[in-house]
Amino acid sequence: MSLRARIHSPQDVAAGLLFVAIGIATVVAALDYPMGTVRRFGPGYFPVLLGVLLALLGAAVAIKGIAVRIEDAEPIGPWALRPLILIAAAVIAFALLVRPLGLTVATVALVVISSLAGGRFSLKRVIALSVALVALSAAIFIFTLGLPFNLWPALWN
Amino acid sequence: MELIGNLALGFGVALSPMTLLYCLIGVTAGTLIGVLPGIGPIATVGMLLPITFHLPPVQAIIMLAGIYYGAMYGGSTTAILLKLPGTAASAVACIEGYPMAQQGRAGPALVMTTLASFFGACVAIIIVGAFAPPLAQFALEFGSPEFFSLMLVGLIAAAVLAHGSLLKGLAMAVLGLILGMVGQDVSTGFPRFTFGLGELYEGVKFVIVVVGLFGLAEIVHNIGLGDKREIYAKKVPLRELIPLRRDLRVSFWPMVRGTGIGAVIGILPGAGPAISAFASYAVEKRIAKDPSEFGKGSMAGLVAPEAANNSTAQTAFIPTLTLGVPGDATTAIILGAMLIHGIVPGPKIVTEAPELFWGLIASFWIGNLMLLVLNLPFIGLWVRLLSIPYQILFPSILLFVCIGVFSLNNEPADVIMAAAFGIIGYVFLKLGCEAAPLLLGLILGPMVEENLRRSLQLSRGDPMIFLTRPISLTFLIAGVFLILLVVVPALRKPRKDPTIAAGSKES
Repeated sequence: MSLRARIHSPQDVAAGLLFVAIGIATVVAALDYPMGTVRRFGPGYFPVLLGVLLALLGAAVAIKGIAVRIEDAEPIGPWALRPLILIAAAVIAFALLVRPLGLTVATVALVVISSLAGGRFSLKRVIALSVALVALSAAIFIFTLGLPFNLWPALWN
Repeated sequence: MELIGNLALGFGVALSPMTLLYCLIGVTAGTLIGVLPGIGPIATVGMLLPITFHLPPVQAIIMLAGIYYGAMYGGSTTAILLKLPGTAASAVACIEGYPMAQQGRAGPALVMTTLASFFGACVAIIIVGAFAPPLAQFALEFGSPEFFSLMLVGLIAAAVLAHGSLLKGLAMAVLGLILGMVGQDVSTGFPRFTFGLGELYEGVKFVIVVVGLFGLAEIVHNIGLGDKREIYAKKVPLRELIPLRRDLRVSFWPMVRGTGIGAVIGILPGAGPAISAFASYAVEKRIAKDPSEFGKGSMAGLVAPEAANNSTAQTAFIPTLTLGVPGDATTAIILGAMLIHGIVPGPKIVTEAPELFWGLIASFWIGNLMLLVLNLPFIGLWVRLLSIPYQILFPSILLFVCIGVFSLNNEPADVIMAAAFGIIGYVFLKLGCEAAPLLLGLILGPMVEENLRRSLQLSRGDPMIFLTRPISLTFLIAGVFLILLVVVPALRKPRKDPTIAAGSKES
């Protein structure tokens, strides 16, 4: 019997291993810090404790995922990779553009990229939404709340 | 009558025009997102959080609280009309409310849930006003060991109530504590887990984590699911809203019972409105004369949980304000917001910041009154909002999130970090790990460490200090009891997870 057939909850196994990895990484990083004693914690004491605890919990989650039969175990399911990448890209594009090129350009970039993430792409809707959102956010954030945003590229000011 | 004098002080604060405005914005936004499925109260409070930093503290907190309990009202509207709960706490409203809508009684169902919500909230507000000060007085005697044990119970409760397995919930709580360690150590100033990035010296910014883990991850997840909403609701004419006298009569005692159950659950640290709605539904079903009515549109089964979740949404502020240990993820965010505003919740808040404490309580009442007014005549409007396509909704939300995070410090790196937490949050979502315990851990992390450190200093390194002090021991026993509550039935019947039955997928 292959290993795959015996894993009852791939979700738990993956989550458990992730926790173990983070736990070990925490311990490794925290061992560099002064440990102190039980009476007087150094900066490293509590993180090491937590890292060990996380690794143990993660191991328990993973073992449970392999060994314990759960009838209605949820599969991990398909990853929504396209929305994930595009939404992250839209946010990052906004972050990189807002300072040099201003709110208008950053908003249009965000709307266009994120609109590619799901559903039917409609150019008309994207344009209308961009215009509406630029107007609305300028009204709320720049004119009402007075946040220090540039609306247009810095060169124009 | 000290309570009356205090309430007068509170109303003085809450009735100022600007405060009323922010309260109105809060409850309207809360109802709005409660109505829109797929965007939960945690995500919304998180998204609006950055904007509140530009407001004075009292108004900021009042607005955030308004979103929280406003969402409880709005969530039941979609639950009844579409069988789509806007929030986890209103999932129960589907069970009884949707059949009523199918029978053509959507109007009375909507009105009675609104009235039940108002009733539950009003009674609970009085409970908060009456019980928070004595509890704060009691908590003044707490030392480090008591606070450590209390926070431990709060974290365990959050893990127990999280959707999915207890072990994963506990792991997420521990991970949150670890994230809370990032930055300079409170007592030595030693930088930890900063990877040489100056950005991280002050710790992982809580707002960024909330926006990423809850807001962005949820948007990605929802797009992945595709737009499957089907508008069942037709217009609800005003005259159809009037409930029958019979509806009022059969609702009264369930509302009272729901309020009571909700109030008790709200006071427990770590337990939120979702759990209280389910608990009160279970109680109504058990004591009903005719249990067969349940599931087919029972008025008692609809109003009791509704009163309960609103009652919990109010009393959850008792532990949040007086002990500094939040009741659920949303109150955890509000607690985080207070800390950012320099308000440290704890036993001293009632005496040291009475205008905040009583102003908040008075604003709760005003906010609930606003909700009553917003909900009854405008139900048709809220229903129409459901037809906004998601393709318009999510770019808009995304933009407001980005602007909010960027405006914290005018720092593009913050926005990029939020995107990173969005990806992390999506991975956790796919692996069935709920982020709520992590959030609680992140906020409590430095406090847990500090109290543990001080306790062990006090006892010269002897961990028995947590067991020899009676209050601390009581908390720890409560924590063990909570774990047994999940573990014992799970051992007896391994395939069914009791927390799934509670359906506390708060988002």
